[in-house]
Amino acid sequence: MARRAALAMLRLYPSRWRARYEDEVRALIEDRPIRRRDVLDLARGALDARLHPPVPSRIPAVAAIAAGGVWTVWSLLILTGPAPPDWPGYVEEMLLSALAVVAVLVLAVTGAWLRLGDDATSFERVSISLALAGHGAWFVLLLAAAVGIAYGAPTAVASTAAAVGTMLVGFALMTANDTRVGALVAIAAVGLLVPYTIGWLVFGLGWVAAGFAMFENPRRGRRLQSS
Amino acid sequence: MAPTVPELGRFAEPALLILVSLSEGPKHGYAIMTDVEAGTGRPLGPGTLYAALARLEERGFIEALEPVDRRRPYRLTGLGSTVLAEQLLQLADFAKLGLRRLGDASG
Repeated sequence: MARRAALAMLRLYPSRWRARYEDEVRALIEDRPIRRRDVLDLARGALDARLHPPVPSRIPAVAAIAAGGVWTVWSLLILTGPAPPDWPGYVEEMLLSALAVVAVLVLAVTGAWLRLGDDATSFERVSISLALAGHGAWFVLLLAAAVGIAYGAPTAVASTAAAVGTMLVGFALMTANDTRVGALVAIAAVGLLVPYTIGWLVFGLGWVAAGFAMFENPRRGRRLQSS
Repeated sequence: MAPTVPELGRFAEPALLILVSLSEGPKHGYAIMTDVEAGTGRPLGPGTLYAALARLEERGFIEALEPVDRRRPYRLTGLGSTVLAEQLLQLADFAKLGLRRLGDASG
C-alpha cells in the first residue's frame, strides 16, 4: 500500500526531474521496505523540486511582462487623459485590470525571490513576506472597491507595503549578485511609491524590463563563489 | 557562533551525510541510504535523499556515473572533497569549542 502510494508520489515531480531521477528512485522504492513517512518525504521532495527547479520556470518572467505591460498601457492612457486621478485613485474602468495585475504580480515577485536560491536570510524572508502580504491586502481592497465598497487610505497602505517589500526583494537580489533583475525590480517598486501617474509608468515599464531580464537564469552557487 | 554550512544550502544536513558516505567511494542511492542509517541510526527518506543528491550534483560536489541496471552510482568530485573537508573542520572547531566550554562550566 505504502509502496504504491510512494510510486504515485513520483508523478508529482516536474517532468525534467522525472526524466533524470525517476528510474533510480523507482528502483529504490521497489527494492527496499517503504514506510508511510517515506511517502510524505517524497511529497515534500516533489514540492521542493517544483519550487526550486534547476532551470527556473519562465512563468514569473512572463507574469512580470504581462502585468507590467498592462500597467504601462493604463498609465499612458491616464497620463494622456484629461483628468488624472488623485493618488492612489483608480479610474473605475481600471479596477478589474488592476486586480488581474496585482494577482499576476504575486507570481512575478515570488519568482524573483526564488532566484535567490538556497539559504534565504531573515532579511530576505521579511522582504518576501511583506511583499506578499502587501500584494494580498492590495488585491482584497481592490476587490472590495470593484464591488462598490469605497477605498482610500487602506489601499494606499497595502500598495505601499507591497512596494516596500518588493523593493527589499530587489535589494536582496542585488546583494546576491543578481544585479540587473534586482535593480529593475527595485526601480519598479520605487515607481509605485511615487504619488504621481508618472510613477505608475515607471512601475509598469520596470516590471516589463525585469521580466525580460528574468529570462536569464540566475548564477547558481553565487554565495559560495562570493564567500 | 553556530556552525554554518551555507555552501550546502537547503538539505544541508542530509547533504553532509551523503558527502561523508561518498567519501569512501562511489555508491548508488540505496547504498547511501543504508550507509547513512547505519552510521547515524536515522533513516534518510527517498525524497530527502534525491533532493539533496540533485542539489549536490547541480553544485558540482558529486557526479553521476553510468547506471548499473537501474541504479546509478555517484562519486565525490574534487570540489566536493574540498567542501566536505571545510565543513568537517568547521564542525570539529565548533565541537572543540563546545567541549571546552562544557569543561569550563563543570571544572
